[in-house]
Amino acid sequence: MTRHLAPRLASIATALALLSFAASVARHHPDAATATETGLLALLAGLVLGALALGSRTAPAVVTAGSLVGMALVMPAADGSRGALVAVVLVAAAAWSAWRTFRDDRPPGVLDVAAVAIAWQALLRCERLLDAWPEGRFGAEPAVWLLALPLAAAAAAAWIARHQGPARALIALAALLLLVPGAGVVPVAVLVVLAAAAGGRPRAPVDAAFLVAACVVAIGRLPEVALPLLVLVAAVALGGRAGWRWLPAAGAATLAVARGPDVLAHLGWDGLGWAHLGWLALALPAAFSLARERWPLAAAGLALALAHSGGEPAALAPAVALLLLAVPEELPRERWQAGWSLALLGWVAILACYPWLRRPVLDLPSHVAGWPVAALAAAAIALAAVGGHPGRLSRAVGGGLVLAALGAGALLRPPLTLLPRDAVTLTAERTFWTRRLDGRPLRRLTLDSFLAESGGLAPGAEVATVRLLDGRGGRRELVIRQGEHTADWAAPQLGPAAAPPPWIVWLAADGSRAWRYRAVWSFDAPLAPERITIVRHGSLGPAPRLAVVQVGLE
Amino acid sequence: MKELMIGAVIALAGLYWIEHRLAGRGERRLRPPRRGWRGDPRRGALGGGLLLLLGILALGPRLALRYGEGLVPRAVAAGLFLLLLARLWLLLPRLRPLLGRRLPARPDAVFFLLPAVVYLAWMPWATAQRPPDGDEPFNLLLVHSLAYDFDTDLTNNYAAEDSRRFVPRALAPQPSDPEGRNGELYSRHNALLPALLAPAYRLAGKHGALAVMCLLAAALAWMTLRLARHLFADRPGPVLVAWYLLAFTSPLLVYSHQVWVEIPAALLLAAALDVSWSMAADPTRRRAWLPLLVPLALLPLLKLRFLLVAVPVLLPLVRRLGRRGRRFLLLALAGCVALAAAVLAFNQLRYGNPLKYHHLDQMSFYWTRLHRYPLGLAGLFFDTAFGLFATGPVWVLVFAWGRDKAAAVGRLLWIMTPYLVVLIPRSEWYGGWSPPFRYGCVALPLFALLLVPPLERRRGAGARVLLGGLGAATALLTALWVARPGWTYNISDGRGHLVDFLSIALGIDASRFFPSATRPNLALLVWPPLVVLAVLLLWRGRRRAPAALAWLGAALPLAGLAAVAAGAHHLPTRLVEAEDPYVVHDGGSPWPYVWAVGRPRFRGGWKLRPGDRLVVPVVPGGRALAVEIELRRFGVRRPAVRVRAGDAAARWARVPKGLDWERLRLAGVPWPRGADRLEIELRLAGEPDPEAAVLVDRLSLAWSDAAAPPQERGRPARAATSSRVRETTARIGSSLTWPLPARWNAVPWSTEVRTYGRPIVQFVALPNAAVLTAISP
Repeated sequence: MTRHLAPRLASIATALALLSFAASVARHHPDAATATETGLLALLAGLVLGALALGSRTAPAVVTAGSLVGMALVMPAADGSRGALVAVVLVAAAAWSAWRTFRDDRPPGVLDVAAVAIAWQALLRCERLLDAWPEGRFGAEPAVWLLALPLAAAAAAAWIARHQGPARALIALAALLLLVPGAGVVPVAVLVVLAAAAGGRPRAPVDAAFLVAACVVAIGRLPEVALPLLVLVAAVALGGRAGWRWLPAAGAATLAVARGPDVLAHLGWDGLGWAHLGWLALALPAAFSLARERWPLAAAGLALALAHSGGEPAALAPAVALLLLAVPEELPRERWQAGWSLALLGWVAILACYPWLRRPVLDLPSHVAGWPVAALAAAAIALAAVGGHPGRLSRAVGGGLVLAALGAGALLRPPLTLLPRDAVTLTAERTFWTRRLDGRPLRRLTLDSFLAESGGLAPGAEVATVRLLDGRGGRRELVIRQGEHTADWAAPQLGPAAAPPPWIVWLAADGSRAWRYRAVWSFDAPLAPERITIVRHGSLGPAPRLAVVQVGLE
Repeated sequence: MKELMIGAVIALAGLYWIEHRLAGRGERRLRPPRRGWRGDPRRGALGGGLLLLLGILALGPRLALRYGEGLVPRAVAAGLFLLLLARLWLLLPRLRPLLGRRLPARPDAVFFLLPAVVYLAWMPWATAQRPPDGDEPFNLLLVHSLAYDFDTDLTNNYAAEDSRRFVPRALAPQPSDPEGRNGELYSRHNALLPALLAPAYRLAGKHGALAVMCLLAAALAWMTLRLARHLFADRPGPVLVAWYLLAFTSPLLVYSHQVWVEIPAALLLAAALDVSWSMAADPTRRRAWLPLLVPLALLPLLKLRFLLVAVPVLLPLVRRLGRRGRRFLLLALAGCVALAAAVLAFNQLRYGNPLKYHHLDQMSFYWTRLHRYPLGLAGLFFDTAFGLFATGPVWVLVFAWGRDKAAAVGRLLWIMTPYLVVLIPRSEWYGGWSPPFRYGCVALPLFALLLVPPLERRRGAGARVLLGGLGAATALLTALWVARPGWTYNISDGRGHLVDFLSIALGIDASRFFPSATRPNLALLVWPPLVVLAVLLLWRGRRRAPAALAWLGAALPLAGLAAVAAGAHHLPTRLVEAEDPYVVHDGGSPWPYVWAVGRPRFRGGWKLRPGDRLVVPVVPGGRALAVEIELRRFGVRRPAVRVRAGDAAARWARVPKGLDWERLRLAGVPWPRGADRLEIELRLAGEPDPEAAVLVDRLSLAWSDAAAPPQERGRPARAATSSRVRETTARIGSSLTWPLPARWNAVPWSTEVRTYGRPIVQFVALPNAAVLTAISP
């Protein structure tokens, strides 16, 4: 009994201790914004770890994550990075718990699956917590989203695990949680249908059925096709037609054709089109090495990724997750391939989670010069290609390529940052900021900033100008516009539609979300500036303030 | 980020090569590991986590635009190191067959290579985060002089600012650096270690020299295994775990890449002990004198004080060896004396001082106060900033008992006692500006051997829980030291970086719960017996318990943190140190200057000028407050101090007349319900005076439940006519009161027992009672 009781006690004690400690910090921290953020992080961590504590195999994840989160809460806080760190730890704990719950041959119990489902739902739908947090409105709606729906999903997944094996149950649950993201009403209904079909049915129709269901939830942004496809899923599940495995590829290809013009417009070296290709390159190893028998799924994933029209960046997560669905029931024997898959799954989970992680992480490929990503992708593809033939030479080659790609990363020179400590605020009294440069060639300039008290500004209004002066009298001016390069920090409350997507989100002292923005200018012909000046426009009036958080030069 | 990538590449390449080497050695004797994701989930998970972190790392420079001021790369560094620690722990079963049934005389090179790979992988990141500090840059300057000038005269090196090659500043000579007869500038540090590092420095600069230090540290870990065969040859399993704890946790990990003489000294001592113990076990052994005497001769050349550990190595052999051996031994001892005399003579000729830069009164341990010994000894192990257990909690297991532990303890005490007797009474017993446990590092292998007997019984229930808790705390702290190497250096102000952050995060004093020997507090009296008792009670029983109990222990550090947080906000505030970071300082400056040399000489405090203010978060303990402020006045005029509790009306008092440390008392300050802060403000009426200032050291708070001041109630036991005894109400609840016949004592009086100028126990004789009070920390 000690063997089973001790881990649960450890998990429960960890969750309670973390809540108690974090509550103390949240209540007494001298900085109001930090205290508010700590409170939210405590609530999120308590919910996630408390849910995981219900499981019987989750003690290592809960105790480790609880200790790390407790340490993180003591560290000096800064603009959302502490929240990002806590979120990564919680995502890792949830992933580890899911792994331990489903990896054994014997099917997990409903409580074990529920623990994982609630934890993931809390992570993937933490906006529900954010919305309710400022006024303490934790009513019926958050309870339905955070408890009832994942419980239903867990029950269905446990049923699938009993009849079709834990691996399929994990894949079904993962597809559901990651693709939406989170357990919504329609996806849970689909999972329940699958569970109904799972009992006593041959494998092939269920295989096709939940693949189709994955497509349904992935394109759930198009409600006009959801209902017909839901009917199709039910028919397939109940009818048992094995030939429907081509349906995912056909559906996704149709979608790709329908969005052709958008695809062409976004295939390029700038913007999220490049992010597309970067992510595809990273996901290809999973497709090549793991989907030999399931290449329709891989094709579906690729098509879905291409169909992405540059809207919400997190929509890329479904495409990558769908590629991971190409994993066969018996995973490859090479540990590094399993590790690679796990890493990619973890990356997808991070993409789909905590709101202010998505944009920075997804934008990484677009902020890196092309060749490092290409080098990493080449290494990964080589690993995938040789990985199917275990042998010393192949392992050595694969390992060497990975090391070479990683070593190439060591040569990456981080951008020169001009504001090492504090932001500079430009007001009606202090209208400019200037800094001397060393004249090195400049090919990209990055500006992190936000406005305050700018409610009266029209979209597109000129806020400030960045002037780059070289030593020969040459001048280049970049105009910072409201709604395009920057916006008000309180845009979530004032009107998020008028603001560009945020770069970092943090919590203000009253619990409201605050946004910070990143603007990037690339220069076809490198400049060699010797001075940079940012000048606030006098036409703004006395009230609006521009906070320049960081200026990066590459 | 670049340094972390380089370290990751070194670690991956090194581990890959070592595992490849192991595959041909150890795995044949073990059942092959199960393959596939179900069979080997831990390795798959580690690999996945590693790839994920490396992905963030490779692309992370674009995120580093002041994204949390470096929190992300540090978190990645900590995460990578935790994965590495976990990977190395999983590797232990594969290393076990290399030790056989009895520890070999020459352990496999893997036990050197593994630590070497880890230290070399960490070194680029650590040196980028924290440039050489303490004695390191001065040692490196001497290295540079030897490598390029082939002399030890640093005059030209200081002038040319050669130190900018390895630190961002130009060094100036250290205080009491010796001067030559012709005005040459020499280093107070001996030249042996710099001479060893000079060739590598010439080839590869600072990193070459630091790489040599990493290899010396790895050699120390290997030598510890070799040393263990003398005491625990039949226990290779526990020895292997002890080796892991020594090699991959603080303090050896922290010192591995730093230029301190302690690690080479530990290596030389371990080498000498190995030969000495071999000779003691087999007195007929021949031709072992050179491997014994060379390390012993080199020890005082590293640092003269290491003579105190060298001599005890030889003395036990006197009893064991035969007549011929004793003759050799006496010659060796005579040689030691001659060597010491030669060093003294050389110093006298070169520097004009036989002790180079020391003086006899610095080593006057024989007339120091006795209480310095237990204080220093407790601090060496328990101090929050400088103690061994604070930097690596798992070392607490040295108190656990086990089979044949007495022999190891005896040998440790024999070697270390003379050394500690001389060093502990010093004001800088902690080693000055250095990582923790500096003066104890020379005996690290011996401390590691103390872990072996208890680790033999590590599968009992209590042992599982204790190991889980200590292991979790050690892993977290080690990851923190890896991510922020600068946090291993602490100011000797009675706190530490982590305690400061905890106090700031909680908005209240948390340092009172953690022991400090630089600013002695009650926790220093409580922690040592509690820890020893807990270890002795829990580490019992041989019956194998489920491994899952370890997770219960792993939850204890966080539970302890929660308990500290709860206690900090519920236990009434009794003592406030003005310079602590949770106190809001509105103006003023710390005193002494943060980087003042020999900080224990000063009473730390906060210097206030007229208009400056301290706002102290307080946990109230009653409805009225008596405040005693220990302060010191500067200038001619006497400012006034305004004390205000929450939003209540302020109370005023003029600073005492004297210019020495005085106590300003205000009794009966009403404490409004809901108030949670105390304001202390300095005011000066009339013309401003730039000289006027007050240095505030600490505030002692005495709470009472009476709404009015205690004397107004007329309680004879508490009402006192003397201002000296007005503060005698119980401070922390630990007060004993004896009612006595009325008027047994006509005149109230009191006396105190003090430690380092601070009262810890007070006895007060009142007209009809006697009160003994333990004063709060």
